[in-house]
Amino acid sequence: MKNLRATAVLVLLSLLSACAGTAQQSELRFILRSEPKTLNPLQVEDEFSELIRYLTGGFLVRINRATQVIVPELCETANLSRDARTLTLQLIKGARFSDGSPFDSADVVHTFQQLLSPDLHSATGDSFRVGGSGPVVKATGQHGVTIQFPQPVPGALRLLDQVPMLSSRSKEGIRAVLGPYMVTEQKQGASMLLRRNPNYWRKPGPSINTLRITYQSNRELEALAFRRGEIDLISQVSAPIWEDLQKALPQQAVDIGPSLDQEFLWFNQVTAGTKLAPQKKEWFRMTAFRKAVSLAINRPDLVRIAWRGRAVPSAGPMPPSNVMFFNKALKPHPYDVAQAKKLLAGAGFRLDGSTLRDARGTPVSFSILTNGGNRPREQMAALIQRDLKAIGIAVNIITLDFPALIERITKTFDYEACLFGFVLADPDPGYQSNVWPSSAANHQWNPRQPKPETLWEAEIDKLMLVQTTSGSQTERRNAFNRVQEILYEQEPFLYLVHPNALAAVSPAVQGVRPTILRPQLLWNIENLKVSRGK
Amino acid sequence: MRVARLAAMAVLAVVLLLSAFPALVTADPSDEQFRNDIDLPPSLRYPLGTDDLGRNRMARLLHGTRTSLLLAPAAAALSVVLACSIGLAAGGGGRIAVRLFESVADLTGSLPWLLMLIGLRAALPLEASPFATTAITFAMLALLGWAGPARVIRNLAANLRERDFTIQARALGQGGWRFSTKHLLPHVWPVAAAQFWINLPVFILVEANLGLLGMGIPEPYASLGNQLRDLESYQSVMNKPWLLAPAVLLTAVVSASWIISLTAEETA
Amino acid sequence: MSPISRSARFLADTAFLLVAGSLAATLLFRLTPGAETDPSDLTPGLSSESLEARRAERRKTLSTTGQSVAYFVGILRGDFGKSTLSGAPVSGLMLDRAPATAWLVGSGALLGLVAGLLLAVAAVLIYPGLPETIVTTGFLGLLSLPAGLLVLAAIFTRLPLELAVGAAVAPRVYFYASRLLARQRNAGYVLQAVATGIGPVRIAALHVLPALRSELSALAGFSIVTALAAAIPAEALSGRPGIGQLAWRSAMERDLPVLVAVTLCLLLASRAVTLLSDVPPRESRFAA
Repeated sequence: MKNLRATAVLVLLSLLSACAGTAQQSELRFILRSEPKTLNPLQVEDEFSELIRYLTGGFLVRINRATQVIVPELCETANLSRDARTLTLQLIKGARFSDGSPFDSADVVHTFQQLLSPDLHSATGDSFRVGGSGPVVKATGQHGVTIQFPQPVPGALRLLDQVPMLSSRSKEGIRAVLGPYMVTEQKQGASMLLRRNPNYWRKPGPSINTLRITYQSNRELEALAFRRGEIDLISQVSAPIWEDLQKALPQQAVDIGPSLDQEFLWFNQVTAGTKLAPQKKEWFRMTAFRKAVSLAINRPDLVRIAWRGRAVPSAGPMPPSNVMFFNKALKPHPYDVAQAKKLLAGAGFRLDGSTLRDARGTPVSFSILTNGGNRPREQMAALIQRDLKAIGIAVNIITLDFPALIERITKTFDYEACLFGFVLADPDPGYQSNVWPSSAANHQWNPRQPKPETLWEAEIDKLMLVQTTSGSQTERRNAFNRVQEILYEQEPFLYLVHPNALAAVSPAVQGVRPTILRPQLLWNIENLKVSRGK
Repeated sequence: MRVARLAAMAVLAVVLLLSAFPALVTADPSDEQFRNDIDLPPSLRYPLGTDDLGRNRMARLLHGTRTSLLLAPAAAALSVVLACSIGLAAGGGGRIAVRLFESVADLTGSLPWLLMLIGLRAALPLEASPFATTAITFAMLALLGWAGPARVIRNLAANLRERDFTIQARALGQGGWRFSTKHLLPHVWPVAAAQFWINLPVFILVEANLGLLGMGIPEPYASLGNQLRDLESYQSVMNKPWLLAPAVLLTAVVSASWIISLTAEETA
Repeated sequence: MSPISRSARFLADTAFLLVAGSLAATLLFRLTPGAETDPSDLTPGLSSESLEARRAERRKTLSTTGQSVAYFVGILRGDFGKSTLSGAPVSGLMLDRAPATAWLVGSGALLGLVAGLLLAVAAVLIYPGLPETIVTTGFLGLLSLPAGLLVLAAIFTRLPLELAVGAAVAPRVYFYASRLLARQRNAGYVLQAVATGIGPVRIAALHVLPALRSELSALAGFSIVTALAAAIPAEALSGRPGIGQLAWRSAMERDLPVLVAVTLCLLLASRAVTLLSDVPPRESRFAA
């Protein structure tokens, strides 16, 4: 009897430890550089909240991050009418939210009601408001929905990739989700735990039981945690850290290739309501001046030094990896100091010893604003400062914290030049509807123009209208190709580099297929497996 | 102790000399980029190697030390002058003056200094030179750093107020600033000088801490603090131990200042 | 002055400070560039109307004097409002994080105080000479390192952060205590105790330290202040979710309600330290 009892205890203990081992093995651990600002999926605007939305949300369609093709998820079928005004969706049957409440067309209608609420003021909601008004969303049966836009929206299907469905019935509100995971624990400022959604509509669902997320803003400490095996993967690794990882753990460092991110410089061309000195306004609005500065910047050195070779010089807003919208005909501007000097001389500037002076004899100098704490950007600023010294321009570098920088470039316009970058979530330029039109708020060099101040901006306005409303993909691509040509000629943005997407993945994680679209390593979370060696 | 003080002064003198005349060690300016010599180890040409922009680390260290050694004493002096003025006024005043002093001192220590620093730098005009930005940073640190020395001076002034010679002076009708400067200040001065030496390493360390946190003197300008940022990378420190040079120099300079401050306090 | 009137005055001064502190923090915030903007203003796809609406909402929390007064009255009722970043109640945020910071500061201060004091007693009273020189040199080195470097060293070597904070406190305690003890070393009552054959450990424990009670309580207060100063870079660098990290983020990301709450917290802490330091002295039984 005693022996039997002892054996039973032993068996139980073995089972328990096996379970614990298995539980640990099916846990994925990673770090976010900042705590997500919101768990409300309709108000997501930072990349960390976006990741949580991706992992927990159920979407009508998804953009496959590897192929960039739209794939139905909670829809059996999703069709856009020929005039690009009507989306007809047939939902899948039997799907349930994480709390067990059913999913049907009422939830779709409810989600869009929330999204388009005038009090929300979200970018996602704004994307659906075309021509100032939002679509009409109607349920056509328990599993049928139509979304009717007031104007053609060729990219309507893609927009659904950002809208996770909310339950209209659940008492848990936004915490009831349709995605593969749900948030089960949240320690403010410290960590978050996501567990498998037991009611996930797709079977068999993800094999990883839990996602353990901690917050750490310091990239070096994140890399240290990876080296120590405390976390399983890191994405958006900075170039110097990646270089070290590659030397130490070559099998685990991954260079995905040029990302959609852009680094660029622009001059303040705002005409009214700015403290810019009149002569500087004149310089910055001269195409020849901007082109000369662009030619004097050594882009290969920016790539080699600031990005350790893990970037490509850029010719325009789209990197080569954006197969749909990259204009292959455009090559990055060369580094040509002689040509730069020639352009400046043609525009009335002259070199007086080592100082460039304009036609009135004023020495040419300006400040470049950038955000502090971004090491590659600070290094690029230092490199550009030296490059422009060669053509007699004195540059003062000012690093500010992010909020102060944004105030200057979007509100007070108290700046001369700005070195900045955009992180793009979508390869479609229609996604940047608040950048390209001259009346847009984020038309950085000269926002909110009542009417286009230059002919080339007027042309961009027309082309972007075609890009966002035409039903023909070829027309859309050609329109944006022409936009890129204009940007190349006029250089309101001096495009510098497209950084590579760099990552590191532990051998304990299988199934990772890195892509440039975010989330770069977790987009196929359902196919990932974790098995830790003993 | 005398030997230690002399040794400390010698260390400071050597560092001051080298940072004032970096050409004695290297002819390279601190911002010159040797783009074909990126991230090199130490050599005869580059005694501490080059950084990731190809800049001579030795030149940057010496120029950075010069910035710290020029501005930290100025900030320490400014904070001591403020401390003397406020401490004497509080020490020589009545109970209300003392209470007001304590409140303002506590308040100064609790205000969000980081926001003040961010705000001050963000509010500077675009034409402000890097030196002006740096000087203003140190000035702000000085404005925030008066409370500790002021408490010491206030206590001393309050004690001196009860001494025979001050009672006599007040009985003869002397008061106000004349009384403070003529009778209290000569006795307070040695303590103030000691406080200067105590504050000096504190300001150097504060700049270093700010640099480590990314809030110090901004790149591409050199300071002791922003060169310590390389130490954030464990792997870099392991692979390139010469990155510890700024930390070693900082330790030497601050230790020397502490030794001088300790001996100054003893003689005060 | 009687203890009651002293306490009443202390409380009145503290109340005044809290009022002044919250008004000063609010004013500072309003004057700081970037108070009305947010990185999300640059989100692609955000319309001009939405952008303006958001800015108008932010302006509402800052603009009118009436708004500031209403906010301040709320503080007096214990309502610190909601964080503009996360929307969470500020009091909840502070209460969540207070234990982590209290632990870091408390244990760091205690470690530093005990280490500094014990080593000062050992070096000055028990083993003067070469050991004193060695300890003094070691602590001088520690004193000369910025707290941030000590924190990084702890992180790299996987040592507890509390040790790093203690290492920032200990040298300061050591130097202060060793000066105090050095003065006592040749005091009459100590010499008398030595003459009666009492060993140095007993002299230190039973005669010298009790005589320095008020100075030691001031030292305890000083340790807490030093530990608090070291805790902020410790939390900011390591990412530990304490009040120091919250203070750092609220300044960098312009979160006014949190900033005001943190300012008031620091004020209360400094008042508590002042109270702790205000302990009357006691004479040694060997004193003349």
